[in-house]
Amino acid sequence: MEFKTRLEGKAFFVEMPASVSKVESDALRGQIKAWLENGFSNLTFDFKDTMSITKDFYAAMSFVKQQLKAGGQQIFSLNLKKSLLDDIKNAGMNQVFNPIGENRTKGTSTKKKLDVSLIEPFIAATMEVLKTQAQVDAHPGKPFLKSTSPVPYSIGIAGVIGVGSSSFTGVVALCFPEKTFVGIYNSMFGESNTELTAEMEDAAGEILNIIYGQAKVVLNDKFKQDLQKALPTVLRGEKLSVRQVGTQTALILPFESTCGLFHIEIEWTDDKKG
Amino acid sequence: MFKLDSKVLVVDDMMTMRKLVKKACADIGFKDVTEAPDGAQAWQMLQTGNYDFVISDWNMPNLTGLELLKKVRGDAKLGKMPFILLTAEAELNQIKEAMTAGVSNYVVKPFTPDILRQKLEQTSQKHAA
Repeated sequence: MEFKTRLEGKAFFVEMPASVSKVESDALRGQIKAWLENGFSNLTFDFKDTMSITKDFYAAMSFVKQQLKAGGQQIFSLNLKKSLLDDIKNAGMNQVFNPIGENRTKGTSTKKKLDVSLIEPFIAATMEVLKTQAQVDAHPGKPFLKSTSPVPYSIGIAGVIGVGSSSFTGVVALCFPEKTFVGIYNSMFGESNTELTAEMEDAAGEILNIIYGQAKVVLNDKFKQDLQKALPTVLRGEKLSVRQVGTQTALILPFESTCGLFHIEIEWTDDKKG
Repeated sequence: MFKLDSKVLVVDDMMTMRKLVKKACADIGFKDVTEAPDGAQAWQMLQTGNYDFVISDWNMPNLTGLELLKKVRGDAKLGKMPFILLTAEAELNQIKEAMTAGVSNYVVKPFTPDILRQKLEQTSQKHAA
């Protein structure tokens, strides 16, 4: 069999089929030498269509990695589905496959209207980011409209990002009481601060930046939104009360964490066609 | 793995992220880690600094991480320098763009020190060849 390949700059891309087994393994071993003549730096396997990978392929990838070692080239693996990623990790093959840009399958709803299903990527991203970057476990509570109930704490610091797409204009704000945020910051850096400082403000924006980046990929890929890049701003204290939003509706996504309560506030105007 | 006395340049406009990367590098054992707040300043520092590898954010003012990578790859002296891009964006087109430009490795935030260590090990093996 022949793989679909292309050379772009210093990268050689290989599109992998839906089922990757012995046939593909043998083909890969047979074709790698010819591919190397293209003089690439990076050999990239795109698994976006791949549903299954047998263990034969693991051996073939190890063989390819050895072939690349002499020339100093690197393997990358794109768009591996989570189940395949888990199998690869469990088989100790992460270093061989070098996966990046995981094909996330969380949030399986295909609804396009702005409803609860669209907030799932934000919830998932928040939990993952805090766990990975700050070693903080966070669990979502039941979302509710801001108009029905206030949050039971004062917000000490908030990261705010303006969001726009063809069907949604609004703001996403990550809001923490002071104590919760200081706890998260301390956990990120192994420090023991007791109060919020100016130096910490940057961290609130960066956490939101990472959450938004993760959620955006899922929202654009899975839910066909076209969210653009956006930079967060950080608000503290009195600035929080003058936050400018053209809001009509605000949804609160509450979280409980090992450092305390916090929430994400999503506010939007329904002035675009959905 | 890169030698622990390697000279590392960390480039990011967010102080928190520079601090996180620096901490992760220190956890791995790197002792000589310098920071740059944007790509333009990093480019100036790379001209004279004798760095062993770069860990750079993508979205930065003045010169983005991708633009910095392209400048490095186009430079006769710096062209083969190990260059890792670290970014919150996992958009496929962006990843492909980085590979086309010759990135050594790519880390999507969030990351743990272990993830960074793995990426650095992969990168050092590639560049040791």
